[in-house]
Amino acid sequence: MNNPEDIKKNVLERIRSGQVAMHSRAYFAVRVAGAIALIALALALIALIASFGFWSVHESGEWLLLGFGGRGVSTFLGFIPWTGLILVAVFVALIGLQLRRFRLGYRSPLLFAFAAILAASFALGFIVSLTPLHPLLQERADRGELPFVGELYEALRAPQEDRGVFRGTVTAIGTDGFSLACNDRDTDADERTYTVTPPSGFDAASLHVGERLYVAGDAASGTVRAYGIHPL
Amino acid sequence: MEGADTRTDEELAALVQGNNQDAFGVLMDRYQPKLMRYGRRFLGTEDSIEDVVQEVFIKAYRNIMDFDTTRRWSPWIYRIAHNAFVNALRKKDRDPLVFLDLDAIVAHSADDTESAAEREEMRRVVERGIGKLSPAYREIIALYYLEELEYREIADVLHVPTGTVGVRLKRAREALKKHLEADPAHDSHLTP
Repeated sequence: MNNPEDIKKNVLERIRSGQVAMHSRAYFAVRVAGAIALIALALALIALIASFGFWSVHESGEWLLLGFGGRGVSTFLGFIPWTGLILVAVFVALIGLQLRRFRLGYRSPLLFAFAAILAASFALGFIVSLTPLHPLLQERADRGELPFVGELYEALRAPQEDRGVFRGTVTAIGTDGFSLACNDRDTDADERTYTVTPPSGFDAASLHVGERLYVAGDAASGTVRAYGIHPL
Repeated sequence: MEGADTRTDEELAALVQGNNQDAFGVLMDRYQPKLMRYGRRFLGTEDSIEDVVQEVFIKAYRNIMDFDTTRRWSPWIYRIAHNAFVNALRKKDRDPLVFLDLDAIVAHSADDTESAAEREEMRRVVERGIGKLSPAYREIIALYYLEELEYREIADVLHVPTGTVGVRLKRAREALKKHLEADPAHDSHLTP
């Protein structure tokens, strides 16, 4: 243990003997650059995940569920990619921790900082979702040329009939409903034709053969009792 | 006895950055009593304070190139000391600080309107009651009333928003009042 009067002597001795040396300015510049690079990388990853979320919800038609009332919203929640959201939360926390090293970061309340990070990265993600990036990646995934994340894109083509969602083409129109061939626009042999009973008040006369529809409903024995129908 | 050095802390720090070790000695002379006092108030003990303060100076010297000489030196060295004392608390596992700081999550307004007379009165009360507080409250009370740092400087030491300093200080005063009111020897008036 030191005596108070020894502290200065000990410290200066260690400095003069070279045991204690100051870090260079470059050392701190590299650390700051590293933190900024980490923040930028995490922001880019959040934006990428968010852009995939925006694009896939639009591409798959799942956003239409939000217009189908309470059941539609409940089904939509089932499609939320929780893994992606957890990743976003981890990256937001990482950015928040890095930002706390800087005056700008710790001077803002955490809630503001997190809201700003999310808003910035989601806005960037929305812009990215409007670019041809994801359609191009989808094409590569369809050709089986997209490693690691290809399955995410292939999953968009997968039938969702077991989850009460049907995408397909109208093949016939009857008095009580219509026939829908679910083909999911892919090359898999997963086509199946359902007889769809529309919800009350739906104007079946507005449909025409060959129209692509997004239908949400309960399927039993080849018949779908729909609670929501929307053209694709 | 040496005459008083009129150079500012920041001027001395700039000299240290230019490899002037004697200037660092002057800074140590100025800050050793302050950091010893801060450590005693924060940790609520005399044990090992000297060792921790020595480590604070060594860290300050190692990292001095990271100090921006256009800013004030005292919050910078108190920040290093804060980290060192938090680590000392963790090692001893006594009254560990809560690291999820709920006060830092939402915005608070900073109310730094205490008059000089009120602050002086509080300073006397604080001397008697600080030991009864939790480490987080002891620290903020010590930084404001005993080390006489301003809200913005304390925010830089603790890495929290300025509004959080205000709300935590208010809570610390309330806790102090509660402890002193429960103490039959208490004979002072407190306005939180």
